Amino acid sequence: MFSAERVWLTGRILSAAIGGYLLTMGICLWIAQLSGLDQNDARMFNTLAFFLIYLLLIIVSFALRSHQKAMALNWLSNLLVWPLWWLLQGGAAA
Amino acid sequence: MMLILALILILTGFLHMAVTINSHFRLLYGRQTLPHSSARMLQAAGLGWLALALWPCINAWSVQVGLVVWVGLLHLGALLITACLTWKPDWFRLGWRYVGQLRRLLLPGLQLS
Amino acid sequence: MKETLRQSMTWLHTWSSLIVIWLLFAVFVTGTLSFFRTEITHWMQPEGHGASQPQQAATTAIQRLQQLAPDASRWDIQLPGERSRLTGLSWSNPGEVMERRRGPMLSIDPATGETLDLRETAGGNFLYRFHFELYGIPRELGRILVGIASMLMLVALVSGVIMHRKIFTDFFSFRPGKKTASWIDAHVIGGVLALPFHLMITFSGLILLASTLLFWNGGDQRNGPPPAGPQTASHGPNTTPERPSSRGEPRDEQVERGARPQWNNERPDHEGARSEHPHPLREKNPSARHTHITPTGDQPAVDINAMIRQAQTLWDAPVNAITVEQPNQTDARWQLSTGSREGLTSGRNGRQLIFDNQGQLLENRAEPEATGALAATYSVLRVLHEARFADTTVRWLLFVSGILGSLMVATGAILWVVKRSRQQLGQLGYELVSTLNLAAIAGLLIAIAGYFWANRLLPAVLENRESWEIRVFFGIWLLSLLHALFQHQRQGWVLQLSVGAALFGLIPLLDPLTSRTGLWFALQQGDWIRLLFDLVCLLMALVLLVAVVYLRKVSAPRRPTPEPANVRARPIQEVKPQEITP
Repeated sequence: MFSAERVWLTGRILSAAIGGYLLTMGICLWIAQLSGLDQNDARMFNTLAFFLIYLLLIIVSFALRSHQKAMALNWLSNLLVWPLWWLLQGGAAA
Repeated sequence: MMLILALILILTGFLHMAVTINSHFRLLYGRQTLPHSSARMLQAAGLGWLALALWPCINAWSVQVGLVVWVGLLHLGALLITACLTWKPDWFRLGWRYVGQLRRLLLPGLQLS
Repeated sequence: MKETLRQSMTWLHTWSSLIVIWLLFAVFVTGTLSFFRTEITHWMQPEGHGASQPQQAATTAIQRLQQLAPDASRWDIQLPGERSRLTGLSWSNPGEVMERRRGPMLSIDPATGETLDLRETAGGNFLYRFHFELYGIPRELGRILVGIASMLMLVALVSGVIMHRKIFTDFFSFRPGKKTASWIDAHVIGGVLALPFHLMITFSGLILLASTLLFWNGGDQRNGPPPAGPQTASHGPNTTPERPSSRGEPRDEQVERGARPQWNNERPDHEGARSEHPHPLREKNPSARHTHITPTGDQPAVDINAMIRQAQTLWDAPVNAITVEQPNQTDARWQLSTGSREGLTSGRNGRQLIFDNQGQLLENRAEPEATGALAATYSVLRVLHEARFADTTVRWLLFVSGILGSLMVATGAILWVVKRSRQQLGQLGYELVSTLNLAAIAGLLIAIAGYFWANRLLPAVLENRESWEIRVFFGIWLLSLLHALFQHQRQGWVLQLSVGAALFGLIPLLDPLTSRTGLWFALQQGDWIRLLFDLVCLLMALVLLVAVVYLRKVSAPRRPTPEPANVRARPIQEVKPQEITP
């Protein structure tokens, strides 16, 4: 029931679903920020792009061969995107 | 009216496509196999017919709606051809004969292996 | 975990879809039926079936409004057309805000002007609402669930395409009577032949649910994409009634189709206005409303039929709705609109003509242009999903595609069981999936049939009638689930499908018995909405019957073991039924 394989698999599914969602969200916010679209357009763009990027991330994170690699890639990308996002926001505010 | 015309064009197109698939080709010509070059040609002809079906759709509706109708008809046409191949292969043969007549009518000089 | 790309995609395809497949099937079936939401509601209000279809419906409607509300500040008339056979009237008195979502206040016979006392019914609207926010749970939760299911559907579609080796070779192939292979073929046919539709409907469905799913994306979408604005009126949390709106619902669709202008003042936060038309009066002479209130006393000297003729010539399309601002005043404005549209990029509003009180054409409004590529894409997806552009022919095409989609989902669910029937029979997961398959596929069909029956058999005047209809729907579904718990092998399928066949097959008999008009009269009258409803029910029953006969014939003698793996030998015909719901 709780074999290592299952735990890894569960972790991978969770990281694809939740980590993927967060990562996509971060990417969307980034694009919106950098593309210079006005607020309405950015919102619309996010809506359109989100599901495509999320889809791509899910497919990729299950196409990779090992659980560990998939999870690592997922969370490392998150670690890359989000702190930078905070920095960017902080920079914009200051 | 335009709808029916478009559907006929699409069925014609899919007939060409279906013939290039080996299992369906055997329905018509027994054990022979279709040469690769002819298959390509038939596929191109099929695509041509399908594209031609766009015209009545756009004519009867607007460009944008016509495109949607066309795609919808593609679904329907593919379904009909599949049903026909499964349960009424005779109709498929009949259809192919009609396509042959059509080709002789339009391109009298052309010889297909 | 898995070796090759194809294998990992197969894994993803199987499990991503399996965990939500029963929900997906329900969403697909009810969503497919929603293409004919208005028509279903027409059938469910038999009081309106006798109405005749005159040329002069507009004149009659205006005469009625003159009697009912001569002092109103606004009249709204929904004319009968391809999708509805009654005239709907609404009006608002000065100072009142028009309730846009309620449908017409009054439905009248287009010829005689007689008020029709339509029964309350949840109608097609219930099925429509169910397909994106379910029922009986908080609306946001329902949307999130449907959204998650849609996302998994999208994942399943794409991984399914990647894993499929020879998509073209199998294109037209169906091999009946080959157990697993037949099921795979059926699944592939349902999926591949209508793949563009599936991708479109799933992706656009997600876009429509985006305001809930992407809560961080600027909050309420209502302030967002321009073409989206009015749609949020029907999807937004504050404007939707708790229950599906009941009487007069048939007009909702037309209301939504943009037949009415978007000059609602109740939402000043409406940034979306840039793609919509502001109030014509407010725009032209903002003070007109308040300064020129000089009743003429006379009936307006306007020839509505001339206006309609002019509009029809200009558009080459029927007039679906008429709105009169300040009727019986000198500054009255007559606005004619059509639900038929030429483009998909233009957001919700259709074409409109504005006339003054003398019947002079003031303004000819084309469909608004999208403000850019983003807005255009966005609008196309919404309009496609909601079939706003669709005439009846196109609706049938969409309906067929929707059936293929339901077929894909149902065969996918059954395929899972069929593939594992040898090794896993008796295991918990296997039994659970079998049970849920039976309850979700056959059970849903029975529940829908039962819902239609309840509409006719419940007393026409009943407190909370529409909730009773819905209760019957879920009651039957629950019964089916209970039954499936105990008997989900072949016998269970035979029983449930037989019940479904009987219920659907008897609807064409029930219909003349309980509606105002007999079958023959409906035929003479050309009430095709109702006749086609009956016909589809009959077809559905036929397909279910074929399935039952086949099931009994095929699997009984084949296996000597006490537990014949029912599902395995079931032919394709058996699954079709679910799809062909009217």
